[in-house]
Amino acid sequence: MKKDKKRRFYPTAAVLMGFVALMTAADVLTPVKAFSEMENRSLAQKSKLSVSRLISGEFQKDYETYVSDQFAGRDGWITAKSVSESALQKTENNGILYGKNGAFFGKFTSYNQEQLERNLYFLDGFAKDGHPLTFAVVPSGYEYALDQLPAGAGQVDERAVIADIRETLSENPDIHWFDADGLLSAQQSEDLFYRTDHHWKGETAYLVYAALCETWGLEPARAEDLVLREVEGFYGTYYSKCKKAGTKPETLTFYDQPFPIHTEVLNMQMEMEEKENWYDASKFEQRDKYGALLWGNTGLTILSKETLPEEPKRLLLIKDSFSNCLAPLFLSNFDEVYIVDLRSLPYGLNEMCKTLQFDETLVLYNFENLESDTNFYRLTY
Amino acid sequence: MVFSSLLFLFRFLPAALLLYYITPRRFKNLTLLIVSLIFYSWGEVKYLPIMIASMVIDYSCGQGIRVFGQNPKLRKFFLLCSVILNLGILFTFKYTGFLFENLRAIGIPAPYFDPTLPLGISFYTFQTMSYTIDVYRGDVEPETNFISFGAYVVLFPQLIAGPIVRYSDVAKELKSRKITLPQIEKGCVYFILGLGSKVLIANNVGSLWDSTAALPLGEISTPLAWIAAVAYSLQIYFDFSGYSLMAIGLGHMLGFNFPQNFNYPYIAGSVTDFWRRWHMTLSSWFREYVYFPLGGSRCSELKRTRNLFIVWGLTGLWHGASWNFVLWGLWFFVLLFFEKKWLLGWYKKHKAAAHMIMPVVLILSWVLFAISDFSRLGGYFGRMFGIGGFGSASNPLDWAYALHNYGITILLGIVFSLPVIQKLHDKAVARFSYGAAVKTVETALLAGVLLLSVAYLVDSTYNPFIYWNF
Repeated sequence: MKKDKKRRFYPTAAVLMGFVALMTAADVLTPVKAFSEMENRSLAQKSKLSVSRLISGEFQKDYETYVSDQFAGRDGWITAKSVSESALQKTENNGILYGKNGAFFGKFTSYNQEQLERNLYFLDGFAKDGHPLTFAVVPSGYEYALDQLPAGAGQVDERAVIADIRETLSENPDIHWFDADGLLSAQQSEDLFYRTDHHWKGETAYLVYAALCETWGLEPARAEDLVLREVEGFYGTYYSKCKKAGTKPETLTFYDQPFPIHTEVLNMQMEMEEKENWYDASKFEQRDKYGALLWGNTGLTILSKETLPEEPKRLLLIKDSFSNCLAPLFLSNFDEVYIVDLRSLPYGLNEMCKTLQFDETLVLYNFENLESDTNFYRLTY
Repeated sequence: MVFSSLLFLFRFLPAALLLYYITPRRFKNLTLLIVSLIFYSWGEVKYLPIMIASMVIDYSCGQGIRVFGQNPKLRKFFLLCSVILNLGILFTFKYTGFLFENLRAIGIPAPYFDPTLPLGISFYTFQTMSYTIDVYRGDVEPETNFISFGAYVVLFPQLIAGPIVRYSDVAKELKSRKITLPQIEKGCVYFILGLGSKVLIANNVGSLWDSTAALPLGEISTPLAWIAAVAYSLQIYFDFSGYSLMAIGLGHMLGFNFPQNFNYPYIAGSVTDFWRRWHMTLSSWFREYVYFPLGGSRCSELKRTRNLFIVWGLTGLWHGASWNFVLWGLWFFVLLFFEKKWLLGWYKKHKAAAHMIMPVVLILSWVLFAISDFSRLGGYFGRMFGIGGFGSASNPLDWAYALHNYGITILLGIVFSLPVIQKLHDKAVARFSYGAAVKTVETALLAGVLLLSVAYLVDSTYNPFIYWNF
C-alpha cells in the first residue's frame, strides 16, 4: 500500500454513511410487526404496489407511513426522544400533560360547544319520548388533581360546564340528574383515576354504583360481597400517547360478581354472540388492559344472570368506556343489563326500546366524550 | 419527499449515493438525472411532464441562442420564449388561483382553481431562467449535453427549497467534478447540522407558534404573543437554513459546491444587512436579474425608489400568492427606503441600539409573514401591544406554561442562531490546531445530533415544512 502522509481519517463521513447503511440494512431485515404494544395501536403494513396507486400517490404515502411505523428499534427511538424531552423540561407530549406527582392528564383546552348542545338536544328528546332516564356526566381526572397540573396549562373548567348542563336539563322532568361530580369531589382524593389512563379505577366505579342504587331506592351490594380483581402491569391510553420513559405500570382494578355472568355481545356480523365471560382475559396480556373489560366498546352488550325470572328486572345503560368496569355491578340489583355504546351501534335504539321494558335507564358519559361524540342521533330513530 | 424524513434517510439516500458512487464517471450525470427524477416524482407523478417540459424548453432555448447567435432578433426571441414559458408555468400553478380569487372579490366571475403546487417550482423556474439569461448575455456557454442540463434542472439536493443555484455556479462541475473524501466529510458535517436545525430546533419551537396561532385572540396574553412570535422567527430560520444546509451538504457529497444561503441573519445591524444574510441566493437572483437590469441604484432617486419597490413587491409575491406576502415585501421596501435615506448612517453610529431594534423589527416582520388573514393579523399585533388588555381571558398564566415547555428550546435556538458555537469552534481549532481531540469532540457531538434527530423523526408528532410551497 502506498504510504501517504496526507492521508487522514474522515470521522463524520464514517459516522453518517456507516449509520445510514447499518440502519437501512437493519430496517430492511427486521420482520414486519402487526401491533405496537407500547403505542397500543396497529402498525402500518407493506404498501401495495400497483400502477394506479403509484400514479395517485397512495402507494408513496402508505409506503412512507410503513417505513416510519416499522422502523427498526422504534420503541427505543421513542424512548430516546422522551428522555430528551424531559431534559428540556417539557411538561407535555402528544396531547398529554405531565402532572407534578407523575400522573398524566389529557390536554384539554377547548371543547365543542355546538356538538355538546346537539347531544343534549337528542338526549332531551329521547327522555321526553317516553324514556325517563338518569343522566350522569363524569369530569375528567384532572379536575380532582388541579394542583398537580403544570401552571398555565389552560385546561377547560369542566365542572363549570357540567353545572351549566345540569341547569339546562333541569326543565325536563324526565331527566333525573345524578351528581357524579359532587360524589367524586366529596372523596377528596387524588386517587380516583389511573395515573396512566383516562378512566376511573374500579373502586371509584363502585362508589358511583352504590350512589346510583341509592337514588333508585335500591340496596347496593356491599363491596366485600363482590370480588375485587387486580391485574398488574397496566399501562393506559395516556401512556400509549406520550410514551414517557421511566413510567411505572399500575394495577388495573375492577369489581366482579361472585356468580357467573351470562354475556352476549354484538359482533361484526351484527349478530349477538355468546362469550364465556364479560371480559376478554386474553387482553390482560397486553399493555392496555382496560380494553379487556366488556370486550371493548361493542355496540350492544347484554349481561344477565344465569337464570332469569319470568319478568326480569332490566337496566338500560347508554355509555362510553367509563362504564366498562361499572356495568357488571348492576347485576346485584337487576337481572339483565343492556349496555349500549352509541359509537359502535350500527342502528338506532327505537326497535329495542319498543320490544323491551326497562326498569331504569342510565346515561353515563365522561365530559370529553359527551362534548365530542357524534352518534347521539341514534337515540332518536 | 423531504430530507428530514426516515424515507429519505434510510431508503432514498443510501440507494442514490450507492448508485451514484458506483457509476463510472462519464455516466454520473445520467444517474443523477434518474435518481433526481424519482425524487421529484415521488410525491406527484402527474407533474413529471412539467419538469420534462421545463428541461426541454430551456435546453432548446439555450441551443437556439447558440445556433442563431449571429441574429440579435432570434437571440431575443429564444430568451423571451424561455422567460415567458417559465413564468407562465409558475404563474399558472402559483398565482392563477389567487388572481381568480381577487377577481371574484371585485365581482368578476372567475372559476375556482386551486392546484397543488408542483414540487420546488418557485426554485427551479428561477434556476432555469438564470441559465437562459446568462447564455443570452454571453456569461456562460450553453450546455450541449441534454443529460447534464437535465441533471442541473432537477438536481435533487436543491430542488425543493434552494439554495437557488445559478447555472454559472455549477457549470464547471457539471462537466467534470472530482469527488474527494475531504469534500464528502464536509458535506456530512453540513448535512447533520442542517438535519439537527430542522428536526431538533425548528420543529420543536414551531409547535408553540402553531398552537398559539390556533387560539382565539382573546386567549393570547401579550407575553405569550411575543414568545410565540420569537418561536416562529426561530422556526422559520432553522427550518429554511437547515434545509439549505442539508442541500449544500448533499451537494458536497455529490461533488458540487453550492453557494451559501444563510449567514447568521439575526446578527444583522440593519434590514439592508439582514437581506445580505437571509436567503442570499434569492436576494442575489433578484439583484442580478431584476434590480440591475432596471437600472439598479445608479439612476435618479425616483427611478431607484421605483426599482426598489418592484423588487420588493416581487420578492413578497414570490413567497406566496397572498396579499400578506405582498404586504410583507412592501414593508421591507419601506424599511429599506428609509434605511438608504437616513437610518443606515444612524445605525452605524449607534451599533448597540441597532442590534436591539433589529430583532424587534424582524419579529414583527415574521408575524406579518405568518398570518395570512388580515383581520387576524391586526388582532395579533393588537395582542402584542396590549390593545384591549395584556392578559389572557381564560388562562392568565399561558405565557408561563409556554416558557416552561419551550424556554430551553428557544434559548438553545437563540444561541445557535448567533455565531457563538462557530466562535468557540474556531478558538478550539486555533488553540489545538484542529487535532484529533477537537475532531473527536466534534464528531461525537455530530453523532449525538444525528441520533437524536432520528429519534425525533421516528416519534414525530409535528414535522411541517414552511418553505415547501414556495
